[in-house]
Amino acid sequence: MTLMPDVKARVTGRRTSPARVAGYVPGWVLPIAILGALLVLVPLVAMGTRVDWANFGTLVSSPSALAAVGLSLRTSLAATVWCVLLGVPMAIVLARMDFPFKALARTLVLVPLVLPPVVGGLALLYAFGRRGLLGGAFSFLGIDIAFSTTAVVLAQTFVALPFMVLTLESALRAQGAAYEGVAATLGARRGYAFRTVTLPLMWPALVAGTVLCFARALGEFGATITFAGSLEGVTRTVPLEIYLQREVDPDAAVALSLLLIIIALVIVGFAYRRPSGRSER
Amino acid sequence: MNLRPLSRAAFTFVSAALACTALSACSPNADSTASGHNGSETITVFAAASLTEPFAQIAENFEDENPALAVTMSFAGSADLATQIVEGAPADVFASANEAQMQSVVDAGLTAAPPVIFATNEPTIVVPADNPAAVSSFADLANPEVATVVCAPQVPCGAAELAVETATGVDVAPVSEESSVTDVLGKVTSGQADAGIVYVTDVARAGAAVIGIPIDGADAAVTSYPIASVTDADPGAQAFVDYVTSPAGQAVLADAGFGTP
Amino acid sequence: MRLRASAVVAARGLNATLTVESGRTLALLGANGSGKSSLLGVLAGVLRPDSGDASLGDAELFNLSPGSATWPRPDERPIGLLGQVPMLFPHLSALDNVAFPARARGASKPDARRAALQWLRAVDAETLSASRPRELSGGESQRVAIARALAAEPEILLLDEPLAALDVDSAQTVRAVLASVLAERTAIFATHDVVDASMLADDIAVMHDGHIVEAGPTRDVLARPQHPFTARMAGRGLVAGVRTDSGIRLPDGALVACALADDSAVGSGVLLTVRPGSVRVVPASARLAKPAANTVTAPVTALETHAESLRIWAGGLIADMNLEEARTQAPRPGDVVTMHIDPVGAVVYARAVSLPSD
Repeated sequence: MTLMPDVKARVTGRRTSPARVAGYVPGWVLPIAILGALLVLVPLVAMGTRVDWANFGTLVSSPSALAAVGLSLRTSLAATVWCVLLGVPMAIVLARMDFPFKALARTLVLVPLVLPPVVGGLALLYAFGRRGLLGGAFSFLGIDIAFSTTAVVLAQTFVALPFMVLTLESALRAQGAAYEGVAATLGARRGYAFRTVTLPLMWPALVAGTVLCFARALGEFGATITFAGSLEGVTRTVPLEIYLQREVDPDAAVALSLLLIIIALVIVGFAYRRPSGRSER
Repeated sequence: MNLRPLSRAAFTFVSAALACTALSACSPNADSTASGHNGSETITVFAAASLTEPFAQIAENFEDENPALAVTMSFAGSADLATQIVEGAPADVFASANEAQMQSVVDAGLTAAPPVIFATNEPTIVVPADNPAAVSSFADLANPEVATVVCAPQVPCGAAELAVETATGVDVAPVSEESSVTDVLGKVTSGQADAGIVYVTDVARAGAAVIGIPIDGADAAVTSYPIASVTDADPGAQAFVDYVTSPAGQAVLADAGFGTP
Repeated sequence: MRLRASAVVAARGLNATLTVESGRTLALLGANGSGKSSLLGVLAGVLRPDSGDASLGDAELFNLSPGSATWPRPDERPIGLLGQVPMLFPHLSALDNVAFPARARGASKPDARRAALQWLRAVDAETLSASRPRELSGGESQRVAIARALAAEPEILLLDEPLAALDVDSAQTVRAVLASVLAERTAIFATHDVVDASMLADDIAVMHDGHIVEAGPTRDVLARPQHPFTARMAGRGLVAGVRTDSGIRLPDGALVACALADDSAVGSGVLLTVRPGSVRVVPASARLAKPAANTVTAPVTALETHAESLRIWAGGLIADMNLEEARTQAPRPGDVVTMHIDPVGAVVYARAVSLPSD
């Protein structure tokens, strides 16, 4: 067989290892990649130099910091669950179904990506606020999400959802529906084929999308402060706490920022521990 | 031989990068209002965000009276501005919304003259124009049914609100402690909150969407605005400081709702 | 179970009707793009035709005709489809791939796996059961895919060029597996390879440009092709003429006296088929001015250089020249050549349908 590695991988379903394809990378890629990495790394290192390491433990374990971290983890987790529940069907519809104005729908789904988060918060306010489009219906049902933790989750879901849809949709489109077709000719109903074929095959993309959603929710600031407010233990997530601490205690703000980064790194590292997750062995 | 495509790619990349940089350099900071008197001396004023409207007016009047001087404004939170000045930002004048932030600049030895108090401000209740919770006094805010938004105690407007609580003995249970007055005002303007505590000048600025309800005992929490020229500033800087404290400058500030020292 | 189907897919130029008798394997023989895959797709339910209908025994399989729109999903049809590429589920072991159809029908995992092991045994792939698809060679994958298709226990098995992507050795192994699997089974086997068709199929339907141009028992179709395309696939020369007392009169007037495969009436349209080995190119020096018996004179339409010979297509006949002859005569496309047919190797038989111009 003299197939190119990637072609062969397609035919046989084998993965190509980076070592086998590195030879195709043009020479200018690496220096520019390093430049890009520095752009990200240098500010992180610079922040590390400003951390008051002697008091780091004290700074990140103050009651308000702990309350913010706890709240951030809870809300980001909840928002991530919502992103999975809503984003998976959205991605499947966009990748696998045809309907009028589909290009427009795809663009609209991605709007929260380009919308400045503060504007996103305003939009949420106009929709779900006490005087918003749906506010009347909500208060009729006795639901008041103003200044509640629910509002934080709503804001985080709003900004994070496009990451799930984008990641999954491109994976689903690249994957095609050939395996589902095979499953059907083997007698698998659509629901069974989805559970046993589609879901496992899109698992790596689902993990990636979930991690992105969680990271985005964890860092969400603008929409939350505009839409949900800021109260310790209720709506004041870590980014809001950082913003507030910056006014009075920059050391605490920097320490908390570092904590946020560590949390994010731990989660990303955990999710990408094996690049292909379940499908290995 | 092998170098040509590489250097061409590098050239494309570098020139694209330069083009991007050049484009973004056209707008160094969006919230500075520059008056471009060509060839004249330029004074850079760092002023607290709450001073945006009156200071823009004052700068205009000042330039009319001093054609040789041009004023560039940079408005932001006082803490941000103080940090920037301490980190070496090229400010000539610093007008702070509180004395603590001015003190950090003084402590850094960066003021050319002792700061002068040029305006005062005091907290007030703000409610949506239709006042849905029928708030009439500060004591009404103790009612948990009234969704009240205040500034966090860590920021000056929150400290002022706490001072009023102490002075009046009213215990407010806010639904949100915001990081800035703007956020408090936004929650009230949108009707999300029933009431908020902001400064008198903020109500004047917010227009018809909200109404202010004066607080008995607000004088316990008067905020003073200090101004000072910065070390190594041009002589024009002190002229601007003097103009702000002159009757003409004070009149503009009074129009915006500020009190006089 | 007897399958009868007809389908029209205008966008792909498909308009075909076919029948597969119960327990027999039908080879759908045609070139790439002739519509074989489309026809199988229609039967499997993955390609919806513009119109058509099909029945399996007495039961309707689908019916898309005016006033009827029965179109079951693929999973609702008792039909299995094996493609050119194995398409094993990459996240499942070989065993679980084969267990998939039973699991999809609700069997428990142990039961499905037990049955899957039997099917793997049937394709001689038992030892591969724990392997992941990416660890398998092309031939191994295809054997597992066959086991998986069988495990669905379809009433009709459709095979779409299952050997085309395999190297010679793997193809041989898989061909042997298919030969045992297809015995007694109702199946349609799409292929462009006349050898595969002759080895694996009981019947042949020849597809050309979206139509089935002829069909019948494999031996008959290949030995006495009706359509020039069939003759070409079978590697035989084919010319049309008129029946005489002792053979055939060709259009240029030449007579060929040879074996008569049926008792078609004198004067009726007949076909002559002959293998390349019984056709010889007459050297230009020996050529006669007017048509002689047992010869055909026609321009060369195609040439193909082989290791030890030069193959020439002319006037519907195929002839092989040895390299010595090829060097001295050096025929080129368009050159008029005269070919001598050895009557012993030629067969004349009735022409069933009028030939479309090829």
